[in-house]
Amino acid sequence: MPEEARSANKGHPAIRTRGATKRFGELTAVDSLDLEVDSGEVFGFLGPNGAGKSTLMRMLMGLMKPTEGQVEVLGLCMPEQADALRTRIGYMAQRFSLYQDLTVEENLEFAAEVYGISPHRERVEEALHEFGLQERRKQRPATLSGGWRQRLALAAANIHRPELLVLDEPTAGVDPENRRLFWDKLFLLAARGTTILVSTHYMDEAIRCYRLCMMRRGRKAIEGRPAELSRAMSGRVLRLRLERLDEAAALLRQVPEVSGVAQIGGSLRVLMRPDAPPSQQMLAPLTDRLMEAGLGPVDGSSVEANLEDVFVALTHGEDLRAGEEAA
Amino acid sequence: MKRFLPAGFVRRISSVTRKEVRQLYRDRLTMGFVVFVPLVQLILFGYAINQDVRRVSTALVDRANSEVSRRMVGRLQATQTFRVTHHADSEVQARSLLRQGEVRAAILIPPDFDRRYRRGRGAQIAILVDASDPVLARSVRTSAAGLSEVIEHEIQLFEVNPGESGALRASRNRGRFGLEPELVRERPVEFVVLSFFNPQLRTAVFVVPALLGVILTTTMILMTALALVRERERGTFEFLIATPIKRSELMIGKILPYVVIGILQILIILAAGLVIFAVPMEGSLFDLLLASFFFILANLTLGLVISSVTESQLQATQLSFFFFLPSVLLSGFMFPFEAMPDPAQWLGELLPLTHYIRLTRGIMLRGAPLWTQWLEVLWLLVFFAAGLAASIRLFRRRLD
Repeated sequence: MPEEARSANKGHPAIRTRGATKRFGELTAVDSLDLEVDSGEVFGFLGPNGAGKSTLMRMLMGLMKPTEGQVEVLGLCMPEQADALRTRIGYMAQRFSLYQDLTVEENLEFAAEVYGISPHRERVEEALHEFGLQERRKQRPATLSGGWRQRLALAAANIHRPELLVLDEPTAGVDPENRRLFWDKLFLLAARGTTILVSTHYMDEAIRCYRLCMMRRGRKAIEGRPAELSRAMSGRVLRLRLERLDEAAALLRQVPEVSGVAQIGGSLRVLMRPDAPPSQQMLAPLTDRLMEAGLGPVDGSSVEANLEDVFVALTHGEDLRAGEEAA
Repeated sequence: MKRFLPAGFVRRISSVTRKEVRQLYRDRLTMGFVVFVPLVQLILFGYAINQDVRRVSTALVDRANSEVSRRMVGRLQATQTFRVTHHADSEVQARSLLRQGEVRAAILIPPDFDRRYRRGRGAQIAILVDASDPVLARSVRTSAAGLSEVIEHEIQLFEVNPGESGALRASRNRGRFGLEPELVRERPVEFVVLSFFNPQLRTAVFVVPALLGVILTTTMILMTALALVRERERGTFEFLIATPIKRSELMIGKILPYVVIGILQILIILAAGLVIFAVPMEGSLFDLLLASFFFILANLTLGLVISSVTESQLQATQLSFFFFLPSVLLSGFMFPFEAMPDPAQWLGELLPLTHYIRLTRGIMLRGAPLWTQWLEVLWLLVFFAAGLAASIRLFRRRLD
């Protein structure tokens, strides 16, 4: 990708969807989704399984035709202009989709050739080096650990240096160390100007995205910078340290103002409903109830919300956009 | 009884069985096969298993050209075994028609047939038969011998005086049929059947050239039928369709290695056939390889079509066998083409194997050059082109 072409794209959205909808019979996998991703962004998708992330990504790749609405990627209409897009976009499917019976090197050679890189030798060497795969070049993917396998998949998706990378849960099932290394590579690519679209289940990854879109049941639940999203939840989280956590949790779930309770180590993290009073004010009444039930002593404090709280609130069916507009 | 069955034995078996039934029920294609395969098989076998060779395409060389000779030709056709499709002027021409596979038999009537017939001495009709198919050759022989007996019998039916001696009776009756009574022979007309190309009627000679085609049909169709569907099952399909590779590039790239494998198979079977079964190789090896190349292409594209419309390797395998069955039964491999009823023959004409078998038998057993059988080659090419176009059209580059 020549530099001038990259800079020409600056400022233009890399992705724009308007009312994008995909239905499979009765099921609406993606429901009138409006999305805009700027070029050069690392944009994250977060959402429970079945939220429509993969379907959306496949529509962006031109691998699925939207039932309704428009999908525009790098200025091209999908899926009609998918052929023109393919050389400019890289894709990692959720399932490992390289050849298990070819070696690391052979897989990259094949990818380079089908993407029309000629001669490909130099580019393959470069990719092996770039992703630290030189020593494993003769190995087959089946013998690689999950982390290495995903790195190989990323190397293959990036072999033609696309302007846009679409990565569908690239680190699912990978250990934390390797996930961190994987993301280091992503930021390296982003620094070179590659727009990256990535879906994940991991909060520590989501927080590293420039912007995030949380999805629920095919719809966009909330969108924004990670810090903005957590801020929308501020004043709604309490941490309580006490004994007999399970009994305490059961009791707290009965309280109408409580939306969710999660055990984090030796303490409980309590998420309040959006219409409940600020968590500071809730601390005293909740502590009292726990003491009455004989579950004291309680050491409680109001804490900052994090993305996980946002995620939990979402899966509990809250409409966070209402809160966002009010704020 | 309970002692022998560990606790939960029956329950676990039944849970596995119920799971299998559910899965089977949801695999509609397999269910379709459960119903259709026996039906199709029954119909195909019922139609195809028939050793009564009928309407063998025949060249006629009638050099007597008399009322009697025409009557004899009529009688031969009335047996239903022969159907005169070509009139030739000489034996040489008839032999060349046989070699090209235009006809499977030739009737030769000598110029002095009339005279010999009337004198009741040595009236012979020669029948040349393409004996590369021993079943066909035996059928023709039986039919001709039968006709000869019938004619003899008819003559004897007109007996006047039962007390007369056999020889006298025969000669008297012959007089009624315009034969000179003083000459006595057992048979008024003799049909001499001469086997062409495979005089010993060895089955191996006939089977091996066709076996080339049968083996190629199984391996070639199955290999490419699995080629695309395997990518789908293993998940590599999603990588492939996200790359700029075009459908035609993918399809052609997929079949090329199998062309080489197919040619390799041909050479192995051929070598074994020549060495072990002493099958003759009358024609040119180049012609045979060229014919095989076209046949391989036709089969490979058929495999691609199957691969494009199926979702699992199991389905692709089933569909391949669904095609394999009529190929074996209706192509003339197992039963003579001439013995099949018309609808079965029409179906057989559609199959590439039918045409390839004609080509291999022509080249190997009769030494016919490839160009003389260009119609068979043309069909293989049409099949290839249509298959390739269909597979490219049917192959979906999207996931929905």
